[in-house]
Amino acid sequence: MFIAFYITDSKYSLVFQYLLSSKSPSFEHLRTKVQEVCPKLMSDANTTESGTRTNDGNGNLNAVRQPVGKNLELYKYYSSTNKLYYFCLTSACSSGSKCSPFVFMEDMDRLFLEYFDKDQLTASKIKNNYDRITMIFYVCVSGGVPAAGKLYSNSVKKVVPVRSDLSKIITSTAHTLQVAVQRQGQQHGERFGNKQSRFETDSSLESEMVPWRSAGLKYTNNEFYVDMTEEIHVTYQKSRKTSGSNLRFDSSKMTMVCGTINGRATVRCYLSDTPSVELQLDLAGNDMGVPALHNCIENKTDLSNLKFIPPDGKFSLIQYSIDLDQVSQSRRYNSCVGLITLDFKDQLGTKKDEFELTVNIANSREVESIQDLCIGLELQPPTDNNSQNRDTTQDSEFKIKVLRNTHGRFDNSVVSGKGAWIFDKDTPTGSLPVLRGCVENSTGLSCDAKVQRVSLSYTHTGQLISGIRVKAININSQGTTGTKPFKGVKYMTTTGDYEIRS
Amino acid sequence: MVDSINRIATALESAKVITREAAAVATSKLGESSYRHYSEGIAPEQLRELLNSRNSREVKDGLRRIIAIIASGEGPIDVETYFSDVVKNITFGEAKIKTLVCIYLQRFAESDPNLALLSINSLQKTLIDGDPEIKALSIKALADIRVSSLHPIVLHSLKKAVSDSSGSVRSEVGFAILKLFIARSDEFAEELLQLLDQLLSDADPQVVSSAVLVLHECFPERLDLLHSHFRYFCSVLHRMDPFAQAAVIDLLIRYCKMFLPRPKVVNSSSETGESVPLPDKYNEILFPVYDTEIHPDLDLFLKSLERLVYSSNATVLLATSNAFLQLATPAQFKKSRLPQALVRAVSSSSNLGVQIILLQSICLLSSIDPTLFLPYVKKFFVLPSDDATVGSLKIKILSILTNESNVKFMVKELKYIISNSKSSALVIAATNSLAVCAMLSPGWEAYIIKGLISNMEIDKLPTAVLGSYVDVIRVLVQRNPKRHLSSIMKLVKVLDARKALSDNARASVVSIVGEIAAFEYKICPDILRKLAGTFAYEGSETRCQILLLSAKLLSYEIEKFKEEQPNETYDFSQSRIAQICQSVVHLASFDEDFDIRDRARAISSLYDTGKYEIATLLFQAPKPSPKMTLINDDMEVGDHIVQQLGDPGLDKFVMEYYKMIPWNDEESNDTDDLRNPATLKDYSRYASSLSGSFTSGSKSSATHIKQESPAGISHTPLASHQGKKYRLQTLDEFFSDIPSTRATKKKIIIQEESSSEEDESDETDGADDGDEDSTDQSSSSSSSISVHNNN
Repeated sequence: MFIAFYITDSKYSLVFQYLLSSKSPSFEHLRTKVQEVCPKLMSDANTTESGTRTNDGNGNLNAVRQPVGKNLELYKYYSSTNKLYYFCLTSACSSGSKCSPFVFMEDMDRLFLEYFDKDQLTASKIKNNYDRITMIFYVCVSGGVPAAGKLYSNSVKKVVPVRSDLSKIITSTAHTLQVAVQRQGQQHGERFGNKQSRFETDSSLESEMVPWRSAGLKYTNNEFYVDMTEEIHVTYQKSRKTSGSNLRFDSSKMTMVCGTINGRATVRCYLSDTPSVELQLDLAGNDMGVPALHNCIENKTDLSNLKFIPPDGKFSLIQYSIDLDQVSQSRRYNSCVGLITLDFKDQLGTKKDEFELTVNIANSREVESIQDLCIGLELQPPTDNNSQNRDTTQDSEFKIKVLRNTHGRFDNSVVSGKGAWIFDKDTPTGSLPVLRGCVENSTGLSCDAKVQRVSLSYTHTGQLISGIRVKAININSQGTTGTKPFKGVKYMTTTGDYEIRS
Repeated sequence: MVDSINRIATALESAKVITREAAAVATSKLGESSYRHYSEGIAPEQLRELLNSRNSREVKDGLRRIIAIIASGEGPIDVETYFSDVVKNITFGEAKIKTLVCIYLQRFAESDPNLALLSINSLQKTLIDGDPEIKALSIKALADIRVSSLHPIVLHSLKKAVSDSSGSVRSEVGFAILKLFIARSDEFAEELLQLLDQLLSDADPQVVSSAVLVLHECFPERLDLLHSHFRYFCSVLHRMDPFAQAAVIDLLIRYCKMFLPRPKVVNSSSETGESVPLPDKYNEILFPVYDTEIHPDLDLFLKSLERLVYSSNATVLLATSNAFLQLATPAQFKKSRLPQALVRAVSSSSNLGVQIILLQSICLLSSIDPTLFLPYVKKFFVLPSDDATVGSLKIKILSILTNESNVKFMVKELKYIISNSKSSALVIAATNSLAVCAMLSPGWEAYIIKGLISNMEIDKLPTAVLGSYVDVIRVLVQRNPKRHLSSIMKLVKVLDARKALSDNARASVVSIVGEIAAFEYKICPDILRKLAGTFAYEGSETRCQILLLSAKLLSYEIEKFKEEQPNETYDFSQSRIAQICQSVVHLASFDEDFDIRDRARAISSLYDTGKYEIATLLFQAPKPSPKMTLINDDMEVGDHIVQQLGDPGLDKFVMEYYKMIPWNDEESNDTDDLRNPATLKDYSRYASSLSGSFTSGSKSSATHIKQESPAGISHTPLASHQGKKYRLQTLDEFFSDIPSTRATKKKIIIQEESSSEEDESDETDGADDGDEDSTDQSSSSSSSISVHNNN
C-alpha cells in the first residue's frame, strides 16, 4: 500500500513530495532515516562507483528497494529521460510480485510527459506546476493503490485541465503561431462551455466509448503523427588471426555474438471526435516477436495492420524487440547492421604500433546525414614480457596519438588506452572516414597496438534499421466535417550498445 | 524646494513599487516561472487574505501556494494553521478549487477532526451533483477523511452511490470501500462485502477493475465470491486496468486451485491414451508427448490469459507467468509465447527494479524448466550498458541454461567477460558460472581450470576476484583431486609468487594441498616447509590452514611409519615433518587469534599423548565434495532455489511469489452451475437511455472493441435496442438493480439471448443504439433524478 511519493533530482534533493496522509513522513524525515538504515539508496556512489568496484551486484533488489523501519519499504526508480529519481514509500506486504511500485512510478513518469506533452520533464517544470502534479497524483492514487482505469492521460486531463499558456504556444515549434492562437481560443471556448452548461458535460462523459479517450474532442487541424524509433544492441566478434604480421591486412570476418533491435512507435494524435485509425506497417520480413501493445489495439495478432481508437495526445502504441539471433534473422544481419560499417586493423606499420579505423557510411536515399557519430576505442594494454616492469610502473602509461584523420577529432580519455573519435554534429552519408593512429608509452617509445574493442554510437533519422516502414495510415472519422487530417511519420535510429570485440 | 523634490522622489518610488507589483501579477498570467515567482512572494498574512477572498482567482492563487508549500516540503509557513481558511473554500463551485481543498483535507483532516467536519456538509451536497466527476470527487474526499465519527455517514453515502449511473462514480465507491475497510474493518466488513459484491458484477470493466483490486486487498480469502463472476472476469480480463489484471489473476489462480478439478495429462504417444493427473511439481510429466484434458472453465481462463502476453505492464506478465506455472503444463506455457514476452520486457525496459524482478523470475522459471528460455539464451549476454546487478543476474541465467550444445559459446562469452569486464561483481558471477559449465564434462573442467590458473598468473586482479577464482578452482579440483594434480602444483606456485593474494584465497589453496596429501604425499612436505617459513606473515585463516596441514601431514607420516614398522615407536626427533609441525605448533600457540592457539594446543596434546588413532580420525577424514548443483533436490517445487558459490541467491519474495499452491483434490460437490454467471449490472445503458443527451457524432465507431463473449455469459442490458421496446421497459429498468425483482428480469434475459450476438458483444454499442432513439427524451438531469428514486 502506497504511503508517500517523492521526486528528487539527480543529487537527491527534493523536487516534489506527495504524502497520502498526515502520518506519511516528510522527505526530510525519510532522508535521515535512509541515511541511517541504507545510505546506499540515496547516494550516487552506489550507482556509479561501488556498483563496479565492490561485490554489490549479486542479483538482488537491494540497489532499488530497501526496507526502512518496521513494515515500511522504499522503492526507487530512476527516470533516465527526465534525470529524476522517484521514490515510493509503501507498507510492507508479504505477497505479490513487488513489481507494482516500480511499474507505477514508471507509469507516473510517462503520464507526466503525456500530460504536459513534453519530451522531457525538468525539475523546474515540476516546481512550476506543484498544484497540477499534486492533483495528478491525487487522481491516480486512491486509498493507497493505483486508481484502476484512471491512469490514462485523458482521464487525468478531465480532472486537471491542461493549461494552455502563451509561453508554451510560442515555444511550440510544431505549430505555427496562427494555428496555436486559433486553438487556444477554441479551447477556451470549450472549457467555458463546460462550465456553463452541465448538459454538455454530461453528454461528453456518457458517450465515452473507450476509457482511454474522452469524447467531444475538437481540433481545427486534425493531425496524426507516428514516430518510429529503433535502438540497436549488437555485439560483433572480429575473428583474429593469431599469427599476426601481414595477415592483419586481410579483412577478417565479423560474426554476430548477439543482437537485438528494440523498437517503439510513439503516436501523437490530435484528432477530433472518436476516429478509428488503421496503421499498416511494412515489416520488411522482420519478426517482431511478442510486442507490448497499447490497450487500444484490437487485433493483437496481425502486427502489420494495427487498428485502434487512439488516445488523445501522445502515447506509446507499440514496443517491440526484434531478435537478431534467430536463424532466419541472423543471416540478414550477420556482417553488419544499419548504414554504418565499422572496421579496424591493428598492429600495422613496421613497429606494429599503428592501428586504423575505417568507417563506411553507406549511401541512402532516405538518410542525408548521421548525427552525433562517435566511435569509442579501447586498446589492450601493451603486453610486456618483462614481468618485473609490469609490477612496478604498471601498464597505465600509454597514449594514443593520431597520425591522420579525415573527419572529426580524437579525444584521449583519462583512462589510458581509451579514447573516442568524435565526429561533427552531422556527417553526410556516403562518406568514408578513416583514422590512423599509433600508440606510445610515457617515455615516447612505441608499443604494440592491439585493439580490444570498438564501440559505435550514432543517431539518424529517415530510416529504421530493420527496414520497417509505415505503409499507410487510414483515419476513419465518421460523419465529422473537420478538415482532412494531416498525417506524418518520422523514423529514427539510435544505437544502444554497438560493440565490436577483437 | 529640496523637500518637495524629496516628496516627489518618494512618490515616484512608491509608484515604481506599485507598478512592479502589478507587472509581476500581470506576467504571472503569462509564464509558469514568473507565476511561481509571484506565488513564492506571497506573505503569510496575504495568503490568509487570498484564501478568504470571494474572488475565485485569488482563492486559487492562495490554494496553489498552500499546495506548493506542502509539495516542496519547505517554506517558512506552517500550512496547518490555515486549516479553517482552506476548508471553507470547499463551497466554491469550481472543480479545481474543490480538488485542491480535498487534497488538503486528505493530508490534514486527521490532525483536526472537528474542523474537518465543517466540510462534510458541502461535500455531501455535491454527492447529488449532476456531474459524475464531481460526485466521484466527493466520494473520494469523504472516504479520505479519516475521522471515525464520519465513517457511518460515508457508508450510507456509498450504499446510495453504488448504483450510480456513472462508471467513474461506481469505481470510486470501490476505492472508498477499501478506505473504510482499512479504517473500520471489524465493524463494517459485512456491509462492505455486500457493496463490493454488487460492484463485482458490474458491466463496466473499469468498475470491475477497482472492485477486484479492493477484493484482492481486503478479502483475499473470500474466493467463494468469485463463483458467479469467474467466467465474466475471464471474458473481460483484457479490458481491465493492468494493475487490476495482476490482482485478478492472482485471485483466479487460487480460485482454480481451490474449486476446479486438477487437469489430466494424457499420453498421446501411446495407443492406450493413459492419463495421469497434473503432477504437483511443474516439470514432472513423464510422457514425451502429451495432451492435456482440462476443465472448460480453466481452459477459458488460460485462453484469456494468452491475450495478455501483449501487455506492456511487467506486473501483468509476471502474474500471467505465475498462472501458467501453477495451472498449466510446460507445453502450454511454451505455446503461450509468454517466455518471449518476458524476454522482450527485460530488453526494452529501462526500469532497473522491473528488470531485476523480471530477471529473477526468469532465473527461477528456467531453473524449473530450462527449455522455456533456451531459445532466447543469447538475450542474456551481458551488454556494456547493463547495470552490474542486471549483468550478474543475466550471467546466473546463462549458467542455468548451459547444456552440452551451447556450452562452447557460453564459455567463450563468460571468458570474455572475465578478461574484459571492469566490474568485479560481473567477473565473480562469470567465474562462478564457468564452474557450472566445467561440470558438464571433464574436458571442459580441465580447460577451465587451466584458463583460470593462467589468468591468475598474468593479470593483476582485485583480491575479491582472485578469491573467487581460487574458490571455483578449489571446488572443481576437489571433485577429483587426482586428475588435477598439475593444476594444484601450479596453484601452489601462484601461492609462492603472489604474496598479495587475499587471506582466504591463500587459505583455500593450502587446504587443497591438504586434500592431495592422501594420495600424493611426497610433494606435500616441501610445500609445508615453504609455508612454515612465512607463517608469521600470513593472515589468520591461512595460519589456521597451515597448522592443520602440518598436523595432517604428521598424522599421515605416523601412519606410514606404523605400516612399515608396526612394532617401533615413532621418533619425533628424527622426523623432519614432526619438527616442522612442532615449530608451527609452537608459533601457533602464541598466535593472537585464540582459535588458532586452541587448535595448536589440541594438536600438540594429541601427539604428545600418542593418541595417533584419534589424530588419524580427525585429520584424515574424507571431506564431502562441495555441491555445485544449481537446483537443490530437497527443495519443494517453487522453492527451486538457485544456489551458486558465494551467492545469496534470489530475493525471497520471488520464490514466495512462485510458490506452488496445492490443488484442492477433495471431491467437491460443487457442480459447474456454481459458476453460472450472475446477471450483470449495467447502469450505463440505463442512464443513457433515459438521459439520451448524445451528440450525433459520437455514434461512430464503438463497434471496434469486439468482445468475444463466451456462450456462458448472458448479458442483460437493461435498456432496449429498439425504440418501441423502450417504453415497455422503463419500469423494469427502474427496479432492475434491486435483486428482488427476479420475475421481470427473466423476461429481459430471454429477449436478449434470442437477439443477435452483436447486441451481446458490446455494451457501448448498445448504449449508442439506445441513445439514438431517445434523443428526444433528452434532459440530463433526469438521469440523476431517476437514480435517486431508485434508491
